Amino acid sequence: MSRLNSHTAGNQIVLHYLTERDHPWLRALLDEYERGVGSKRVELLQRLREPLPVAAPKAKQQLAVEVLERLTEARVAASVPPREARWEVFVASATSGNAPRRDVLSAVSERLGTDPVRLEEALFADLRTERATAPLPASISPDRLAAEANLRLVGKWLKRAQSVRITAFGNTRAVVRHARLQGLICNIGPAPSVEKSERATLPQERLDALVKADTDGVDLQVSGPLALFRHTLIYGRALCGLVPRLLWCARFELKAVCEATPGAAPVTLVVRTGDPVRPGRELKPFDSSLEQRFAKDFRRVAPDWDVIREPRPIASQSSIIFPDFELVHRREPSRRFLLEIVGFWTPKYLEEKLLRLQQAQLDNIILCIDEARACSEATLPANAQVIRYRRYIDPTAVLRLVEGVAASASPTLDTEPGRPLPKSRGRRHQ
Amino acid sequence: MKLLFDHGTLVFAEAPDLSRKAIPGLLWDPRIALYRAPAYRYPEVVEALGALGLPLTDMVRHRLTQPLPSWQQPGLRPYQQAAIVAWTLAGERGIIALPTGSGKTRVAAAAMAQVSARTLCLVPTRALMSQWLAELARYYSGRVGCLGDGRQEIEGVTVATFESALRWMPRIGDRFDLLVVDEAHHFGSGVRDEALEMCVAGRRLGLSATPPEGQHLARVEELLGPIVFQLGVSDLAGSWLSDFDLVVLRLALNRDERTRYDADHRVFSELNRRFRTMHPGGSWQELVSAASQSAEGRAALRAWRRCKQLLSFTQAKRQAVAALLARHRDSKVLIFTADNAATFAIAREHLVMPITCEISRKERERALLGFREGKLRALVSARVLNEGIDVPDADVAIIVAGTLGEREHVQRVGRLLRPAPGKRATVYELVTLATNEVRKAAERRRALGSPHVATQ
Repeated sequence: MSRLNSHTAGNQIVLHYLTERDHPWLRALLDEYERGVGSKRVELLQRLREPLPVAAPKAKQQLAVEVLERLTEARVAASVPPREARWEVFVASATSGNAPRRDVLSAVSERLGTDPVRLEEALFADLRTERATAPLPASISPDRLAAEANLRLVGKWLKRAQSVRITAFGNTRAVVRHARLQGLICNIGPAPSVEKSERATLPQERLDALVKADTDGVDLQVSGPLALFRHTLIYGRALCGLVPRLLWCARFELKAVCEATPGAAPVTLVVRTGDPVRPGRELKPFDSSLEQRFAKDFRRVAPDWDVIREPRPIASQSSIIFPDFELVHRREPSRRFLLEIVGFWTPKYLEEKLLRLQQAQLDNIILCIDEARACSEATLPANAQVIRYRRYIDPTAVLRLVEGVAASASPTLDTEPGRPLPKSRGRRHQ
Repeated sequence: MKLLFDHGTLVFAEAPDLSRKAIPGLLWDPRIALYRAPAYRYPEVVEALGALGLPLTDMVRHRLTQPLPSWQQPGLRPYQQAAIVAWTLAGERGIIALPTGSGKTRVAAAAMAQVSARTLCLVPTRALMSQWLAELARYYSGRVGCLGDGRQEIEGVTVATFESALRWMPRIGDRFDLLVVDEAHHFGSGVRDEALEMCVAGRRLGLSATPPEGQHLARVEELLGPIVFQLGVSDLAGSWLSDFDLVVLRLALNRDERTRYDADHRVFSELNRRFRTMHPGGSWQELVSAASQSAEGRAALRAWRRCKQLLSFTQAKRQAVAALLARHRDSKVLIFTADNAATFAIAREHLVMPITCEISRKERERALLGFREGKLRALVSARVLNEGIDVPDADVAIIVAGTLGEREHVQRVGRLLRPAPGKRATVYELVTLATNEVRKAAERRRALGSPHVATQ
């Protein structure tokens, strides 16, 4: 457990997060790093694992060094491209008979326009274990190191997780999308009500928050198909990827069932809003270049409309729908449309998606359907607005649709069932 | 009822109530409200469903029966033919164990040509993947797919690295009827096994020079089948493999090294003695786990690591390497070390090309080609050259130190045994006197069978 910077209380994991109290020794760690600039990188990293001038908890220090190692991946600084230097030197050595080492280096350095010392320095300058330590990037501070270390700590446990249960409020779409893109099974439902017995143990402010947010929260149960048969490690990487996306949610609580080592008794990891876990870098806001391009192009052609990337999820009987975008008119916010891109999915997926949309009785949904997918008019929801695309979603077609609806008296869409739109004029690849 | 492949598992859609006893691996999956079974049990599942007489639409079989371009049967040596016969008689499922240099890839190509089914070949490294692609292209008229090294091409016959296979198998595990696993001893524990579990292929062929043992073997047998054919180095050396001499150089520590070694070794020996008294027969992992619980134990483990580091490249070994490289200046020499630190130390001192995991595939290929053509006279490596890389015509090996025991030793010696007319290889093993290297070296030699040993 010390290796994982944690201990167990009952069957629950207690993570030893890095906090402000750790900043003094984290600063000392960074100072030690600065002292080692120019020395061999692996030797410096080894030194950083040894006791520091300021007392530091050993397991936390190891974790911080791991993170620091990742954050300071050194750039190559050499007078000659190392690969070229190696080839020239080793071939010259092989063909020079019994010539002394210094003669070989002199001959090659002369040919490459450098001196023997620099040539020797360049020989392995690009290799992780042999490279010199580069200066510390300015963006690295004790605070950032602590935040990244905490994220890594949670990730280390999630790599050992078999299943994850998340209760989250707001911006949950990215979590669901990630789980699905990674081939995980993600059962989605409304957030469960707080049980009476649980209410008694919760702090009042948390209880208030939960009760207030009960209406728009979602409950996600994430696991992998193979996890049904035994504890498996294959989903660890995908489950790890949930955490940075979860941090986007307004509030969340994650519970993961983990095994510290294969075959060990399962223990529960709990991470929730307020824990000192922050993403080290901004996540990619889009799942695909198609979405990214549509958002950019629509903002350009429709200055009166806002494109909301993470709209609120919509309840549909027992499940939740996560539209890709919400289009909101700036001056008349009541004019809202949900936009869902359906592309590169199996017919079975499409079938299920259409069924959920029908169940939700959404009257303001725009479906962008990849023309390559087989989807007959009859299967579309009765009130769906459809735009067909190939590789590129024409923003003007979407604008015409939303403005066309605005021209009618009612803000509610009133169109023919499954009425196809006129072909758009944008760049289409038929 | 429909049988579907879903992310490395089998899903039973529109199924009636099924008995878990009647169908191997069957479980009810409440997450999707359907029955599910592991993909690797596909042949048993289909057989069991057939026995139950249930109407079945097998959506998995549909993908497996698409026809392939033609194969040309490769010419085989007698022992290779025998291996194929043994594998066929075992129901086209099992492991063939042959020494390095004896043509395992060709055996696999022969099996693939014989079966002519959609095949996925798993190999441990990118370098080996390139070799497989080249070898298969000699006998297969179609395009060979490739997963790994930045390529994502899936064809009827595809070669993938272990890592890529693990990532891709949930999506492609239903596309192959034959699964070939090179260096199969890498399986048997850990996450890699899950790649084999997620494939429906009923026909399976494992290849290894050093098949796994104990619990690992049982697990590999479950996933690939039993060892159906096995030959060692001594069975083929001098006939189908080059003959070789093993020269053991017994070297001493200098005074300073001896003082440091003895001090550290004493600390570790005390811990080891106490552990063995309390846990007779305890494994190394158990010892490390127990030692990690106390400061004293951790200090002992650090002492053991220092011993190991010291022995990896002592002053005497340094001198011996220099002398041997001078002596074999006109030979092609492979130098094997215990770690990358020693590898780079030798590379710097003697200006010989290091091959480590940090050297890119392109550079490795260039180096191997240079070695083959005589532009480079020596290569030094800790682990990368141990297995999987085709290094023809090397005739001298210097084993400076090793970390992985007999298995590693057999693989390393195998690097020299690719036959050539009149070839007799020489293996130098550097062993430090009065250290635990002496015992380990003896164990390694036993693993080779009965080589011609000379000591100096």
